[in-house]
Amino acid sequence: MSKIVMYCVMWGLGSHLSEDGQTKFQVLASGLFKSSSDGPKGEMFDNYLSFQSGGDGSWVHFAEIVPSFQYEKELNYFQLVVPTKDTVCYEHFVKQFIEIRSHIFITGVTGTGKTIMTENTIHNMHETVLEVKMSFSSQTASKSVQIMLESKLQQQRKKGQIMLIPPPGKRMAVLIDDINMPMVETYGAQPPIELLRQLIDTSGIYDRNGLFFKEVDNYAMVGVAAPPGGGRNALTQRFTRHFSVFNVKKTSDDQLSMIFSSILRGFLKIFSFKPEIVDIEQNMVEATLSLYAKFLLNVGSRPSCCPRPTSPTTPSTCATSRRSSRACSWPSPSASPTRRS
Amino acid sequence: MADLSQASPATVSRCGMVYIDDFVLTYSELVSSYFQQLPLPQSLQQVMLNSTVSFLPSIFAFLSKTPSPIATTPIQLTFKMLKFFQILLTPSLVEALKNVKYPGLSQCRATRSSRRKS
Repeated sequence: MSKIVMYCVMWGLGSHLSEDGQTKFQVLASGLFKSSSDGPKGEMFDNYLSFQSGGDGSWVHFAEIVPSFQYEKELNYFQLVVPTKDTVCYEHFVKQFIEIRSHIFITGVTGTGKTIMTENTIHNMHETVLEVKMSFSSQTASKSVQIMLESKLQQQRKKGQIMLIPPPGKRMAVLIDDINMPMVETYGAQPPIELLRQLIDTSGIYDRNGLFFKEVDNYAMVGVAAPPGGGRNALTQRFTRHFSVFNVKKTSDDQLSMIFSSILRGFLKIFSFKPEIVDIEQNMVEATLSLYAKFLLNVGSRPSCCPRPTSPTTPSTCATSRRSSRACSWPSPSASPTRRS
Repeated sequence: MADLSQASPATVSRCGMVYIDDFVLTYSELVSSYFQQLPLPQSLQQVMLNSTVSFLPSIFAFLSKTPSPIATTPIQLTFKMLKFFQILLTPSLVEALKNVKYPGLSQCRATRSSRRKS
């Protein structure tokens, strides 16, 4: 039982923090939980509690449930997702929270794969979940959001009340990408956000034509957003307080190299390149990443050329190295020099 | 309504008002009301409640000093924590917990009563 309490306290109260914060939080917590020896091996934020094997529950490291990556020829490069311990971790939570119909908010710097990860999770649940995907921009109007929502739901009359519900046997998951993008209007509000807030607060929305109240039931909202800055606005706390906030950790260097090398290896294998080329795969990835690290240093020292003053390095974090790794995936085996030799 | 900073005198004059201070209604009420509705024996509820609540003050003191990417409130985080409990405590697990003899049960009660005296 102390495991249950420990797990819930740690993940419940610490997972919204940034990496620094999480580390400090762990230090604090290990002091608090000192008395019990039931903690997991290694870092708390890498483990979850599982009762599948029954009994008192056991800690499972997220790295243990990472599926292996399969390179698929048909997919666009940007649709490739290499599962890592972090993606597995947050997929796990998104799934659980949708199942209890609780709103969840995923934040984290650019390039951590927040969007694609949540999209995949919800897509994989399509048997029980009606998927509503929206992507906000600064020009998103509240009316279009409402139309989008209403078009997916069925109207039903219940005790004289109009209800909007997902098709039977399903619940709705509303995935909103870049939720903090909408422009702040003169009076400090963000109209699409206010609509969603009304939806959560009063569990319903008003019909635009008939001006009557429609209850919306059986849904969970999944907000995805990078931290404010560079066109992203801070969301009002009246809205965010309805959400369980999770912060996705920045992808570590090890993980980056793991991701790129598994893509490259998959590519080289599927197109049956010569072993000479397959062998230099690791070098290629390492060279790209170290080049990228050098590039970051130089850019960092010249803030004038940075596109976003508040976060000079983040926009290009993975995009650049992703692109270079993508370029590596272009040549066909017949064009490679070793083939001819 | 969270606060009156945006309310005009007209609004205020129309409302009857009940003021609830943060100090009166804190996270501990939330947590205890959650545990009370769990289908568990009362002693077990109490143990879980006590062990959970005992961590909270120092954690929230720490959190108030630590910046987070999205501003959060203690109440919001408490809700999140309770959702974790909700996810974990499936009916089958609750059944299993009922049958477990928890060794620290009597000890926990003792500390609680001694705390009351002090």
